[in-house]
Amino acid sequence: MTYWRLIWRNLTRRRSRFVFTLSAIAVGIASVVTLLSLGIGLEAEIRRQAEGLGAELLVTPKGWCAYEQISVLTGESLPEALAAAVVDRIRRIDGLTAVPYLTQRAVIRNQPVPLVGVLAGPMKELRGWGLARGEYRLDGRHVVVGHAVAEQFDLHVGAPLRVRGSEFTVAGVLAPVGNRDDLAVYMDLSVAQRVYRTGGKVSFVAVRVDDVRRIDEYIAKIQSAANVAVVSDKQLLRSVLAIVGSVGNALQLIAAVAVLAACFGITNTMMTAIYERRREIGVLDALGAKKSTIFFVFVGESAVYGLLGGVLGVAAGFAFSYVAAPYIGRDEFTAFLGSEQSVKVFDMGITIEALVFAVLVAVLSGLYPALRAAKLSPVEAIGYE
Amino acid sequence: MHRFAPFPLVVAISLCLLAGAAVGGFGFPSAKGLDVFDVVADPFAYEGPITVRGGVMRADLGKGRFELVDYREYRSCRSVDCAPKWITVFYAGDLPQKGAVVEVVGTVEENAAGAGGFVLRAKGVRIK
Repeated sequence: MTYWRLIWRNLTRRRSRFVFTLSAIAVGIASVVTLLSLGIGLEAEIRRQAEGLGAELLVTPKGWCAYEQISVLTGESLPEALAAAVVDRIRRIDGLTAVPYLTQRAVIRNQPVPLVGVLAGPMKELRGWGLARGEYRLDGRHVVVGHAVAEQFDLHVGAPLRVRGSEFTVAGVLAPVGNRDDLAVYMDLSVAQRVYRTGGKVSFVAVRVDDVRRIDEYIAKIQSAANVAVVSDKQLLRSVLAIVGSVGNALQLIAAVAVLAACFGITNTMMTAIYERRREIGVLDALGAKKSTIFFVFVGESAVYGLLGGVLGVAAGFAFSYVAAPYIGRDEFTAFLGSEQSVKVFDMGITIEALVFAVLVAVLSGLYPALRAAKLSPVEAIGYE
Repeated sequence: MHRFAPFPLVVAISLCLLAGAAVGGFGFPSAKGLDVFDVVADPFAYEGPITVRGGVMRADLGKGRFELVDYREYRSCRSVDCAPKWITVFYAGDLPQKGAVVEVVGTVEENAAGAGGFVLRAKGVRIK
């Protein structure tokens, strides 16, 4: 009988125990894989949205909470909070281009759609937008729409759009850019301020600087010009990732507990197996099997538990991620992203990491039982009834 | 030859489902519907009955009305007392308590008594 056949026969000797132990390690690994795949997808989505900002600095009112910081990246409606005078003072600072945003909501066929009030020229330059159809025209009667909004609501050039009782016409459809810009309606800032009665206020200001090496200097200049908070795009990214990470850490702890419980399950299973197979170990000893052979048979059994549990866990984890994807928008930290694409459904890196991790923890769990088995004396083992 | 017994597998799957349900049960109540910020932005653009989700900021039993704050902001901040915008809901049935997460089915009506010059006349309120 070969080494591996011996291991397999031993494992499947007690099928119910085999299933339970395998299930435990599979559940542990599945929870790790699910968290990793959701986490990696989410982080990639956040980074993509942050890159889409196209600005190095963000000027916001002081005291904005986590919800509002995330909303900058997701395009959710934000309170109008920065006065026109503040925006003017920032725009007068040399070496930077300040683009104010007023983020609101319009309604198309009873569905809310992001509406952003912008300065037409600076915004187009900041975002590098192109046109798919029509013309880029923002004024008191015209708006442009993102590509995804046009597709979703079948909005063609010339289509009417009613916003808070005012009639507008779709002048153009932007070329797809692959971020939240595709999901909004764009209106001239002053028109949006009038329609939404914001009293000339905006939600936040995106700032592009001429020299990124002097970014601290620009921050100081903006703060001395106005009583506002200024964050760099990297700080914003870190802040949002930290919010997401703090929730993720709690979930990772649950996954770690599941894996730890599975490890104890393997140790327990292997200890029980040693007591049941004392005579067999004794016979192997008497036939001249080395201590190391007995040791590696038991470690091998643990490793196979890890490998099989890992394979099942990886499959279950990715399957769960796939099933969870449509519901991820309802989760407490991803709700803001509102994206169903923020899930990494399959990743080779995660698969390899999870399998190596599963085998490693299983082998570690099996070390103590294997040592106990290797230390049994042949006389004691054969004499056991 | 061993005969495959499905019982252990059934127990194992049941345990997993129970564990999942236990972990899921600790979360914030989930609710479906439009968000308060979506409705406040352009209330009269919504036609017919709509479902709005949110947290109850306060309830006035005498007037049969309560104020609804944005679900996502409530979920993030875990407080109903610092919301910048809310919806006034008129409801003839039992009013939900402060802090409850609810789904309100109703229609938008022009009414100066409500924040923003409108109210949501509720036909039904589901407490989550």
